[in-house]
Amino acid sequence: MLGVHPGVLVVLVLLISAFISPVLDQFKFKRFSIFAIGVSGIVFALSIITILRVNSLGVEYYHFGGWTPDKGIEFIFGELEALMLLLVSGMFFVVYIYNQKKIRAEISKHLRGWYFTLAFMLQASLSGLILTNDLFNMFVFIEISALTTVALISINENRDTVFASIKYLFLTAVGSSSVLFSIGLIYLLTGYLNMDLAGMELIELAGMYPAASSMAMLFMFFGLAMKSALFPLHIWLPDAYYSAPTISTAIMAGIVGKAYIVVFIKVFYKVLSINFFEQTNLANITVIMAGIAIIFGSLFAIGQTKIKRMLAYSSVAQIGYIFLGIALATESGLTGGILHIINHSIIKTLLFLTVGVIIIYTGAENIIDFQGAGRKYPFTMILFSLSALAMVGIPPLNGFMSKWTIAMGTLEAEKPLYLVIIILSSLLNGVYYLPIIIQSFFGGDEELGYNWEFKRLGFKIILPLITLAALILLIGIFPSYPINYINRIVFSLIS
Amino acid sequence: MIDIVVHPNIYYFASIVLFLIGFYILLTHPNLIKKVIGLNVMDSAIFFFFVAVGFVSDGGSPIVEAGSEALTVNPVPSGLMLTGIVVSVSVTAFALAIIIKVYQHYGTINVEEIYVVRSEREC
Amino acid sequence: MKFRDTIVSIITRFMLPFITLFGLYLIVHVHLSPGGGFSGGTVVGAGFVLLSLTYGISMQERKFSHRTSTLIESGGALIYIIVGISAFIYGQPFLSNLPIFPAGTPGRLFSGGFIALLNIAIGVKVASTIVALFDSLGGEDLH
Repeated sequence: MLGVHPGVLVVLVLLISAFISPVLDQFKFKRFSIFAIGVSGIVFALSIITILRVNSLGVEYYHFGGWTPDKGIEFIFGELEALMLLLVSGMFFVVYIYNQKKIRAEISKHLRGWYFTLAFMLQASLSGLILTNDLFNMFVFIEISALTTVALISINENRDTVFASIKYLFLTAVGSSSVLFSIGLIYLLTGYLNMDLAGMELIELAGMYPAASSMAMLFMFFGLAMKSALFPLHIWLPDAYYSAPTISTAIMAGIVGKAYIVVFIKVFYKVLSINFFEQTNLANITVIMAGIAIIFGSLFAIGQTKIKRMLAYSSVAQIGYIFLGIALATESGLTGGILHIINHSIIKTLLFLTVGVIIIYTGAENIIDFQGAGRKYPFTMILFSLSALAMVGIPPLNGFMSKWTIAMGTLEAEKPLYLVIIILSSLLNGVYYLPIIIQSFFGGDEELGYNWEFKRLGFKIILPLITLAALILLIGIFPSYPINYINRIVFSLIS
Repeated sequence: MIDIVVHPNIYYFASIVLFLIGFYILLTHPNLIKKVIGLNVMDSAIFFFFVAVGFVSDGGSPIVEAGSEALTVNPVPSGLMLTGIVVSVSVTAFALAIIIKVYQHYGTINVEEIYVVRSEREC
Repeated sequence: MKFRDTIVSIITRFMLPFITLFGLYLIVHVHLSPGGGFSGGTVVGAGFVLLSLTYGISMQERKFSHRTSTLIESGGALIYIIVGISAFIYGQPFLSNLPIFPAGTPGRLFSGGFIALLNIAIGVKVASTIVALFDSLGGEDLH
């Protein structure tokens, strides 16, 4: 079977499971959770095979239908794509294992089959989005992921989710239309839809048609920034993260946002690189916007009363870090940016999963209600504290490594103002995370003893939390393996 | 016969004007259904743009016999827009379904009144 | 709302076979003229919606129940993927042209490989989607 590549099988297996799920739902199938764990486990194994294959064989291309790249669609299996595919598959696998008992009960019973249909479609479109090398194929996958994300938010119907989902739908549809317009302009200029070929053509054409190619770059920037929630286009993010059920929030925060940032890197480094970095100063503007995002995200997070909103604004700040690293375009900056994509995905997912346990099991939504939560659920709050400290950037956890590398990047690019911004925002991060940790362990009812919750939560909820926490510690203590791998990616992107 | 000379790029200008009109409708009208209409106008402008990209003046229709060398219009962008139209229809259908739910929960589909209802609930 | 309006029901009974036939023509002639699965499927779906507008929702429920539409939608998509996967057996990438689907001479109906087969699956799926959409969004008032 020569035509089979494990990466293509990832998308196909997910699509097949997404289309089988409604049929299973009609025949009153009950064990969707186990089905989801099985399918995502297979996909995770396939993505591990992909990354091992890329490590040994190098970059590979897969031409759909046997057509050559100038006429047909191709998938590219490079180092960046394999790494991001591993991240997406791993995170979905972990979240599906976490989806047990009371957490599963947040979604009403008759909708569970449809929930997993949407989640499989979302994972298929995100995997395809990362792997594709064709611009229009990328647009189609962006649209599929946008629609399924909105459906995942609004699966429970109440006032908040309905409002958040209509807001998100309008804003993301505007973003997609902008991206499509930009793709049309790129097709008009170069005649190719393939990213590599269009990039090569644009290197000469950007000088001949500066207005058209700059307009293409602007529309693409607007669309992708709207979807990645770069400040000031982050408006949909707090409402969407706050009102969605716990698993949907974990999926959105950890995975969906990161896939769009990977698309940003691919398009702006391969296709529009001349316009972005040399011809206009949009790269500098992005750096300024990222700096504002870092400060204002943390400032908005300090004044929040509900915990999920606070975590959402913290996400806005962290996305600012990632864009700062990407737009600086130095070696350390880009390395730090890509490393922070991985780190932030792991840390934010762990934060939302632990907070989800506390919200569902105790009903505490406001930050004030977290007083004494450390006594009732000490293990969960220990993991929350670990991930919060990693987010602030305390060594030897992984958040420190990526922030340090981005800081090195700002010095390389001779913008020391952003070093000051990074240090200042780390202090601001501490302002809103540390009180929760201290209050949860030392506040509340003083006489209550520590009530370890392993029996109450069960093995299947504890296991994903431990896995993510172990990853945080491992990447923090042994950063050389991921950083060496990412250096290879950066070398191929920048040269 | 008066021969009016039209700029060769008129289709692109028209599509950008339509895009901006659609965007303006989406931004300013407070009624949610009018926002959906604005979104549709924006998408129609993009479809028009793509089809105009494929247009070759003096070209015939792209139905060819084997081995003929006639100049034809490029059919690839029109084919891409079939997918685009389906995506736009899906987004419209989904937005209208959510708007029905918004009406059931808030009693109004005017964005400003929805904000008033939400801020009253917070107090 | 009064159903069984005489003129509308006579015209519907007369027009419905032609609408369906035209929709099927659009679906099958995808490789010869503009059209394809999406537009042809919409026409066929619109025919079913006309049926329910004229005779009330119960008639449409009898001919096209919720379970049928779910099975058809999933079946259409799965046929698409299975046809694509069958290229793996011959050692070629997904959705390649295969010797078992004849390429024929351009201009005739039986040509172009499996394009027509895929578009029939898509057309059926789109028709079922249009009917299901009308059913869920607008159908409640028609009882």
